[in-house]
Amino acid sequence: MDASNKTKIYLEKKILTAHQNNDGVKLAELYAKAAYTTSNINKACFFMVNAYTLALECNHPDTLSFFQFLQKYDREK
Amino acid sequence: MEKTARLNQVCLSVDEANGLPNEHYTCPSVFKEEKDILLFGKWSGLAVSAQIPNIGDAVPISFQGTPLFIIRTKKNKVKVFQNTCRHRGMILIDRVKSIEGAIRCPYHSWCYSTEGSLISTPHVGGPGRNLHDAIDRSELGLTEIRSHVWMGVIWINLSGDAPKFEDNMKELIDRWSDFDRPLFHGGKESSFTIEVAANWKLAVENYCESYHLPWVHPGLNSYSKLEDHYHIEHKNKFSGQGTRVYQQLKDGNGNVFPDFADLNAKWDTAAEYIAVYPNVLLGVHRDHAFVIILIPDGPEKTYEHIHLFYSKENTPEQLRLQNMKQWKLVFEEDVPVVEGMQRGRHAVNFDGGRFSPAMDNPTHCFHYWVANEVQNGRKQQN
Repeated sequence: MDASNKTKIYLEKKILTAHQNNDGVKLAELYAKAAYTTSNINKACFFMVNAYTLALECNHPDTLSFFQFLQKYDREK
Repeated sequence: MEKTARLNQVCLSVDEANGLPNEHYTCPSVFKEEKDILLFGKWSGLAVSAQIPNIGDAVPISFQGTPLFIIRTKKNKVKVFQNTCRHRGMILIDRVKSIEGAIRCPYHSWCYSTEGSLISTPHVGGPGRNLHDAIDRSELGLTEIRSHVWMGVIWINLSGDAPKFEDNMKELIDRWSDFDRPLFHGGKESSFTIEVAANWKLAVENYCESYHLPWVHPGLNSYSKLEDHYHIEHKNKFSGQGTRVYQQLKDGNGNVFPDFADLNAKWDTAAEYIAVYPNVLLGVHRDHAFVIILIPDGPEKTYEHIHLFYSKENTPEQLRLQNMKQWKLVFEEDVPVVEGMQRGRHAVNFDGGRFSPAMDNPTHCFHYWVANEVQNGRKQQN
């Protein structure tokens, strides 16, 4: 198993746990991490949409940077 | 006698009129009519703003089956919204909560600001795309319900076409201008709810008049006698009673609640109790006020949500408790008679009853309003 696959599995587990714990802050951060660790723009935007949505809800300090990420790829305005 | 004739009979002068017919207390279809005309068509009490003291506080409330929520916005304004997402109609706020950032729909996560604007539509244009040409967020904000805060009460007009609250209630706002100031809710021990097996209007009718005091509230009548009371009537708006001999509550050491500042001397010994049509009962005194919001649950059940307010924060807790107990006793003394009148409305030969032309004027004022508004509502439908 290569390093990126290991990271992916690790993140998936963490995301599931955070969902179970209803931990919005953690989820926003994990989805953002998932977005930043893939080179596929569509996948990155998918994760970043989730990160941004949850960040909006919990008033996360990185909300603006998540928004700007999506804006850069014309996915949010 | 047919419906119109019976309501015409209610609208005669107090010495000739009969009360509202039984069907206005027992019939589900008349209840629905009155719900639309009187509760949705006018300014009704929904809650008290003290239920949302902090920015972001949100409370879901179902008002006559309509899901709403109240919220204190980031701009520190009290607002009322329909509790449904503009996407699939999902309930947005399902429990009392504090909104940290945005209101996120639990279904597809559309997000709204506390002011009601739609601010994000995740994946609406496909995975990873929050935009779609057909989705104009500026047109899809939360459905705001017209609201106004006065005397600590959040008033709503669901139909959206009643006159402005300040214009509609000008006479009462002017009458009680001395109390148009911040009122401080007494906290948890100053709120309670009484469930009554009766139509909501009977609670209003009983509140309006002092005629029953010697018999139902002998404790009150020992110092606040019937002859110390006066009627308050304003056709089509409000009615109630006042007393000229209000005595402040004292604890064992003779302490009293602090007065509201700069009151007119009239209030040294006066207190007034007014039913604001349709469903709010208010009481004011030099040192405290109370609010009763009547929430009907069908034609034959009503919840009375009671809240006590003071002139300052942090009044003595024991005194607040004593005051709450005193009022609770008074309001509970009313329950058997209100429920008894409800049972009486199932007597097929009851004709609405006759009024005392000397004592029942404020109650007749309310009956007149109901009959008149229902007649007008029926005319508009036909």
